[in-house]
Amino acid sequence: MMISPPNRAIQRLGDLLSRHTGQALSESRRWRIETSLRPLMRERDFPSLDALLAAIDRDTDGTLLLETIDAMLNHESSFFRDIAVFQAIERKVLPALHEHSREKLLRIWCAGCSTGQEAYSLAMMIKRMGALWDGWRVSIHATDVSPVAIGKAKSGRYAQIDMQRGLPINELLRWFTPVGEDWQIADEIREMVHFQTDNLLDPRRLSGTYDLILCRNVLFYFPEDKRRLACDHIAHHARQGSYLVLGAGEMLTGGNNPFSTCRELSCVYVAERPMSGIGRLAG
Amino acid sequence: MLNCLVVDDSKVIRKVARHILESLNLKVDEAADGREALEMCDAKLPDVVLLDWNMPVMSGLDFLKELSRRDLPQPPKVIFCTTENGVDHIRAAVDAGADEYVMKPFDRDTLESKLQIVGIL
Ligand SMILES: C[S@@+](CC[C@H](N)C(=O)[O-])C[C@H]1O[C@@H](n2cnc3c(N)ncnc32)[C@H](O)[C@@H]1O
Ligand SMILES: [Mg+2]
Repeated sequence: MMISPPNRAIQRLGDLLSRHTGQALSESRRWRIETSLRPLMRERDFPSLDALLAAIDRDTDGTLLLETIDAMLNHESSFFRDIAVFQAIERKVLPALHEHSREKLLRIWCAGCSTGQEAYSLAMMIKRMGALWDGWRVSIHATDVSPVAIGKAKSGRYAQIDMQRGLPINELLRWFTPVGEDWQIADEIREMVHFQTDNLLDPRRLSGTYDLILCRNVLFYFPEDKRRLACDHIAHHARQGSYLVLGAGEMLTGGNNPFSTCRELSCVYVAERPMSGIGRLAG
Repeated sequence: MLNCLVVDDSKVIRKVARHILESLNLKVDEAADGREALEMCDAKLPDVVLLDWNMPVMSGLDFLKELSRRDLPQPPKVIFCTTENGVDHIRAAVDAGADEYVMKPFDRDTLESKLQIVGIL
């Protein structure tokens, strides 16, 4: 027998999620809401979603709200996730950016970086490329709407299960130290990435343009209008020749975006037009 | 179809590994210790070996040492399986010639990602 979830509570939780992140709860995710919130409810002794919501209303500093939203988000990530995409970045995208830059400056933005694996993978990759980047200023800016995820990302500490997926053994030996059951990433890598809490639909932490933008497995969760807004912001922070990498199966929306697909590189796009046509976000 | 040799003294682990590897379209053979694995390699070289560390008769480490003594032009890729996450332990395996490692218990995603890293998938 299926018991219908308490609809009013789920509706309210969906509204909170949407207001803070722009994500819409799909029908299938509505059913999973209670499952995602169960650990938090158990930890805080809330017998029901209604009790959780009542506590959120009473909570003055907003911490419980943030934790609730965080629990509803999917933070799944892994080191070098979709290895073919990282190979394309290493073998094609970064060398192309290297060749065409005049200022020896490489600026990367990871939008929706979750707990940091994607940004750290790029940092390890740049180290692995060695002398190529000697004398360059390389910056990796990584943002996520969830302060909880950003906190974990900044700490650079990962459980064994996170290390298992995608992280090559040589990178593990080179950059990680075991701490009890966990692994700690080296400061040298940690210091290459600047993590900040920021909403892709209302970005306030970004500055200028980035040569390489990763926005993987993020757009997927937005409804059409929000996806378009996110694409506009991404375009606004790209220049002609910037590369954009999306998740597998994700597509850009909005007729006015400057990106075209790269031949033979799936998930990779390049900004072919100058950004002057995308003025409506300026100011 | 690529060939994977699963080397483990635990029948259960071999069964789990076989199930996963077959679902990833690999052909699977099994050996219960390093000695048996070596004999199988001498008969027909697999593309990749999933190698337990602690086994009776011949350990994973000794198997690796024996295998590298053979100076094969195209040695199989070796993913070693362990229950310990000690760095020294992992480094010893790499020094002996292992290409990747995986912690037990492992699941499909983990094995798949390791096989991708070593270039089998
Ligand atoms: C599934 S994870 C993807 C992580 C990583 N990019 C990857 O592909 O492995 C999606 C992340 O997007 C973040 N996110 C969701 N809505 C967002 C928004 N409006 N602005 C910024 N980040 C957002 C979530 O918090 C989550 O950490
Ligand atoms: Mg054993």
